[in-house]
Amino acid sequence: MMNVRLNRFEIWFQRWMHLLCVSFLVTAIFFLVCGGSLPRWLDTAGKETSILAPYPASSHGEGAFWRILAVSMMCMLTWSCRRIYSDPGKNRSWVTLVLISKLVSSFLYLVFFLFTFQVPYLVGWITDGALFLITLALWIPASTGIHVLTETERDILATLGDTLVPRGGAFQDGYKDHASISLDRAEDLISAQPKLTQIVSRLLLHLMDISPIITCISFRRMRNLPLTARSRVMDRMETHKIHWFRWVVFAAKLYALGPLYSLPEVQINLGLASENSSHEATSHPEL
Amino acid sequence: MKQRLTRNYDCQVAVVGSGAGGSVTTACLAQADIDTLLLEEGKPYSPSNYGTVLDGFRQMYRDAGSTVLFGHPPISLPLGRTLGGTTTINSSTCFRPPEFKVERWKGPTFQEMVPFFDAVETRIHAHVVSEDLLGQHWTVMKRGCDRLGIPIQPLSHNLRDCRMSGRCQFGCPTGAKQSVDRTYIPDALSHGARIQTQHLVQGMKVKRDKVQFLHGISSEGPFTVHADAFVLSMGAMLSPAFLLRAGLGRRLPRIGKGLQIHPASRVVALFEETLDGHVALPQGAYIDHWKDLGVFMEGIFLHPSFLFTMLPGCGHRLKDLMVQYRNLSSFGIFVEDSNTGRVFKGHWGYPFWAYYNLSHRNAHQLRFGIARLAEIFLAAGALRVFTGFSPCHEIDSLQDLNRLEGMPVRPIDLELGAFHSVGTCAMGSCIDDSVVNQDLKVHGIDNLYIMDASVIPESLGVNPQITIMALCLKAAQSLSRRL
Repeated sequence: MMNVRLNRFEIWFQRWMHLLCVSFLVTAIFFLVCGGSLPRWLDTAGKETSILAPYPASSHGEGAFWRILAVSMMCMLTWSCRRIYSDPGKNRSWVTLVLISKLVSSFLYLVFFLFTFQVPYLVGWITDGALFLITLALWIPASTGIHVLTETERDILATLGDTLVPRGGAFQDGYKDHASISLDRAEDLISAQPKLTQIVSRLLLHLMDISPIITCISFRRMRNLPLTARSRVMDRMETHKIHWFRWVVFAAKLYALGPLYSLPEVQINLGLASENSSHEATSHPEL
Repeated sequence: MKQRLTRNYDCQVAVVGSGAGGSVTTACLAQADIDTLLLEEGKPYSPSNYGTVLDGFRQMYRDAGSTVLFGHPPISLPLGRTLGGTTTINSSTCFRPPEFKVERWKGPTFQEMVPFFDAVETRIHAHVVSEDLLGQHWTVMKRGCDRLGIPIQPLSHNLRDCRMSGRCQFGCPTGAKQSVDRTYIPDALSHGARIQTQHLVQGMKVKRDKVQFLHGISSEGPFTVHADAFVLSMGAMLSPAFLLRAGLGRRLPRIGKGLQIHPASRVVALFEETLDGHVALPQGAYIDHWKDLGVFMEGIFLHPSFLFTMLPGCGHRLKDLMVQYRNLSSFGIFVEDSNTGRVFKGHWGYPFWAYYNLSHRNAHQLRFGIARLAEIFLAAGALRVFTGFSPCHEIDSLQDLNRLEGMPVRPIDLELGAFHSVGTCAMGSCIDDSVVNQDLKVHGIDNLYIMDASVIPESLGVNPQITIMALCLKAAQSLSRRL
């Protein structure tokens, strides 16, 4: 299990998964043994304040019914965390499951709290919301493993490259013809940024992916749109009043066009000599 | 785990940073037979390993060019991180500072500085370039300017045997640019200075009025440096952040304040004729016709990897423009800023944080500059002009130009870059409004000097490398006499 080579962000995430695995297991046992009394204990604060309402006691049968579901979900989360802990890179799809579980529960806790103002929902929202945020914050830098971009992010960047430079037209070649090497060069470029900037660069790619929704052109992601619709979205983003959107397009252009046009064969398409031809030896002293 | 021993360096003077300030200082001290150690965080590169334009951007720019001044709007600030610092990635433009500005600083007078300007310009081969190096790009700009009665002149550059590779900003592949890694650093080495690259200085120990030692990390492990005198030459962003990290903020309240930059934008134009801007000096000419309004214009042409990011649109529309790359021309505008920003010590892997807001006055100046450049391009026969002003990205007639000039301007509407940061450890006589005295010694600390752009009290309105080098040369001579 421990022979997998991990970077420091993966190690932090792995430790977090270990902690969650143990916590969910303990919680499962706790729910099974005394889960029925939990809302009553949590209600102590509600009874002390006039602002928050107490949670009404449920009938015995109904409580047991929901408790079984809660225990089974805790077991599932324990197992998921155990799998992720064993190899975060290989079992990345399980992370999505943990994140969705915590996102949905924290969202519903919030909704129920806003409607009822009862303390247990508030406690549930704070607990699960914190678990969701911590897991997400640790997962973002760890998710790329030894690479800088995930496969999804490479896919988004390839889509953006294809939108910017499609095949045909003024010259035949498009981004797709040089996608693999351009994406590798884009990764090289992003890898030279500080870690936090790398995360921002990756988030910008995801923002571009959901830009059809932001610009209200479509409810599909950029990757699922045809070329004409993607072009329309990018034009809308580039001329948007909100300057952050224009920045996102600038970043997309930099990460797609910069690496593409550093390729000698693409430069030749523009009628330029390859950059390498200007690297002549000189008589100046070298250090 | 293998224990890594701390390496110790002993010398008379330790210089941190090898840019315009640090390299001149090191060479001057070494020539005076002073045992000098130069520490540089970046790697050394030479024309044989600059690689492609993108490689140059990734390797030689700090954080791969992603350095940003936070504010409204955020502005990118390219800085060099290699042996030779930003001089290896600048456009090699040389200007003396305006005399009236030098006279109002609490430092040496302009006349006292003249011998140092002369010495620096001679060493780096600064001269006004011949029109042959400026290519067709110059021809069309001159045509446009002549029609409008606006003077345009070739710039002074530190070049020797330029072969017009067209990529000064990404490392000159023929070694023609006389950046400090090809001038002052070889001088320093030949006079016995020691140079250590990939040595990141992380902090210093200050006891009362003396720096005891520096410490840091290199590719071989931790190190310390003991010296009689310490010179910080890390530039206007890193030097103040380093002093703040060393805990000098309370003692010297001016550290990091007063950041000034040259906010800049650009205009790209499409012509019918072939210009081949990429085989000419990218920053060949300048227009100072509106310098009294604080607006200054310099040529700037970029490799397609970067120029295409400035063109509007996508898909076949963008490809139609790309294929006309050889017919494109571009020019930049920068303005003397009327605002000041601030540098803070960095966190989370960043050596500094910086905050700067573009003033409305500067935004108006930039829009004015964009409009004037568009007018020049149109007068020269441009088919279309692409601006860095988002409400009016494209102009192809004087009607469009009038429309641009009539639009309201918000700072966030401008596509901006920033250059020439200064002022964060200003020179002066009083501890309340300055950090160093006129010998560039830090107030209240006997053996600490700052010799870089941060000591220049205000933005110059011109490219600052000659000013930095001359000020540091003078201060280094003064230091060598004291040691």
